[in-house]
Amino acid sequence: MRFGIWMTLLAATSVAQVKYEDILQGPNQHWLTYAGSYSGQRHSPLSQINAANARNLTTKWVYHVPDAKKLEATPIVYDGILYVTNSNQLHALDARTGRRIWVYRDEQAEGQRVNRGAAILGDRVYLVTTDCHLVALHRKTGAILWHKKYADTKDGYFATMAPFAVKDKIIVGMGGGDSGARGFLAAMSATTGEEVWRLWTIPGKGEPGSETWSREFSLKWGGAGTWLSGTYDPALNLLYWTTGNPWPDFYGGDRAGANLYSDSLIAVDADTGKLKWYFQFTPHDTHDWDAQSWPVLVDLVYEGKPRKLVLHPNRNGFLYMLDRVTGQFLKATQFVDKLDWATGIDAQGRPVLVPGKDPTPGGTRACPAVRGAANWMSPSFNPATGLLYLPTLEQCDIYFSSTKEPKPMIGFAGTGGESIPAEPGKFMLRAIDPCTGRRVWEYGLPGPATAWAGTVSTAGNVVFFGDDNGQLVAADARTGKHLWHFGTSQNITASPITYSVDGKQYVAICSASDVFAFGLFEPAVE
Amino acid sequence: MNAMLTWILLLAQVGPPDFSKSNLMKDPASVEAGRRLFASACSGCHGPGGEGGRGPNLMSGRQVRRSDDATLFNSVKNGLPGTDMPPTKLPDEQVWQLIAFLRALNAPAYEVIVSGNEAAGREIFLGKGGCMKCHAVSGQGGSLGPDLTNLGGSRPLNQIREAVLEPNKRLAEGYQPAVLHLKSGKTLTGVLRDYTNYTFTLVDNAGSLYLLRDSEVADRQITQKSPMPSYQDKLTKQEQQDLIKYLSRLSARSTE
Repeated sequence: MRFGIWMTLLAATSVAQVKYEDILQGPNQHWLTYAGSYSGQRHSPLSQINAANARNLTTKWVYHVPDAKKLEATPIVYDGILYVTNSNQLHALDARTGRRIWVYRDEQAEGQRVNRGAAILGDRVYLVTTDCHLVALHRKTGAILWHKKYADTKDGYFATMAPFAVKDKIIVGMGGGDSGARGFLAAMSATTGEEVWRLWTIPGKGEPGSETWSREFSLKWGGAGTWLSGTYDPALNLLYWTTGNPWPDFYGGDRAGANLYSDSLIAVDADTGKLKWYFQFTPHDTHDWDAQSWPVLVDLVYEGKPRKLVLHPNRNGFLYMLDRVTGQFLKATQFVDKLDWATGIDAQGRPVLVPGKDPTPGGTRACPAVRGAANWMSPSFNPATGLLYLPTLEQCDIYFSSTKEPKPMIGFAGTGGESIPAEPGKFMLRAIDPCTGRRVWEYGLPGPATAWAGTVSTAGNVVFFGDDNGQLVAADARTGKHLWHFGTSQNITASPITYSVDGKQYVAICSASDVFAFGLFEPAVE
Repeated sequence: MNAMLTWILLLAQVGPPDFSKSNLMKDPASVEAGRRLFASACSGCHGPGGEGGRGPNLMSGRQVRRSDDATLFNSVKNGLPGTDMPPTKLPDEQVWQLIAFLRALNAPAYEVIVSGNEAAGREIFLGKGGCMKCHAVSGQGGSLGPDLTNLGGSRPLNQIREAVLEPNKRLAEGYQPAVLHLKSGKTLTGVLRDYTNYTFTLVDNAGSLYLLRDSEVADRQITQKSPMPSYQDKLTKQEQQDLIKYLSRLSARSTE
């Protein structure tokens, strides 16, 4: 019987292709996108591991990624093979044993940076290199099919994001906005790597939105990066992508105006790259509050009506709810206590500013900290509990600015934020009802406030998350009660996933230098 | 004059790739000076061409390429405590010359001038050589041997030459020929991408991937001999050079 199961897998492994329709189904035994599903909910229907038995979790395997110091990848899994990235590397592993099947290394790539994951479509897996090459590899052998350069490091670009497969395209973004590089989102043919469309996140001269920048210089050097993956609504054919801060990050005197489309959520036609609508969270940002916590697409009854919604916990400390069809602002809720830059969000979705919170040469205390109340670490949403599980950081910083003439591509940010030694930051995992903004439960994560760890939710009513001391933790999704934990002895800067092979559910997460996989303890059978 | 020396002198003429902040490292004469220093000070342990001996192989590509200039400099200058690698009294300038030579020795083949006819080499690759039965380039070809799409962009010339002429000298990791007899009665023939006492990862001759546990395998025959034939006697010297030229031009980034 056991052998029969294996042979089924083997046959499938030799011929199976990942179809767009497979990704549409969302996570099941596979985990096919960075966020698990196009909705970005990071919620798995798997329930073999559940709140009643999670205490029986045990380590199944550990894979050491050679040279890795700070893995930030969310692995993807298809048909029993787990794909995990490091800087300019992609490792394919047997998802049951952690044994390596193949590894791809691009040693010609410029520099070393974090990498947040791969995409999969057809018989191919895709990754971006630090220097903005999209690479297509054969998913079974790791053979290189093509390399396509989509941006130039000479223009200040780099890449860290997990590419995003939609229909016949691979969506890619860029980093470098903190040194001025002009943001864009691009779609490449999944077959050939040729660019299909490109949407600039800072309008060109004379285009709508360009009037929100006081200097023409900023239209070329304004930032608004796209360094995180996005989400997608197949019915609306809209991509939802968030953008980074305007540049220089901490001095806005040379860029008077709202600085569109920085710190925004943009809804983009997946076929054409046309901007359908946008919503800006932090107009004229001077605190480096990129909007990079991805948009979570949910369908909920809000104020008595079923609505297609998008939730976005922003680095600025507010959880936003928008109508994802139109972009209409519906609600914003403060999700951290340490927030003093605004007294709230008005009916149009604009912050009600507190005067005197802009950075200054002498320093200004403001909350949240530059790292944000939320950031790119993954939230998750459980449709059964109706709760959003959100890693949050309670911290303030002293913000400094400089009026020095900005020079792009040299790391100049107009200075920055410094932590306050007497006020150490503290992570909290919060379960929030998005309709009311109520914090239903919270789980303190004491530690040095150095983690960048996310969550995954399951139908077994378990939410898994990394804490601030290198532990992977399982808690009851309904109550926040502790169920299980495992110490990796390493800082966790990634988000967990769950998948199933041969009928057995696994939970996996990257630590700083290793991939850990867990499953239920199996007692010996005589 | 052996082939390695010919190649190194060729490098000295065309200059090494620009891989260092140090001006010395950009100077072709430094590579030649480093070669002479290496012959007198290092070859006793590391071999005349850096191929290893009492000390480690320095021409295997990744080990040197993965080390930054400062690490290499410190290793040469101060030695490696706990090993037989001693510190040197050479002045810093000569240490940098040694590193320039090591870098050149490990430069990807694509970055150096190689003699031969690329088009003729491609014809051999596609036809007479039968290479595509086992190797793929840009998705075309077999999967029993390593993918060659980025061969010139990732491997030094000496490794390519060795693989063509002396394939059994160094078996590619993850390509060990094997025959697995399964308890089901099925026999799989291919290469092991990975194996332990408990698991086997095999790609068979048809290109299918098998992930197996030892409980499924009745018998195994794993050989240490490369399935790749030597082209020493199969091709003329000119054909060998043409094939090596073609292989050295394979670079994933050059075809964008």
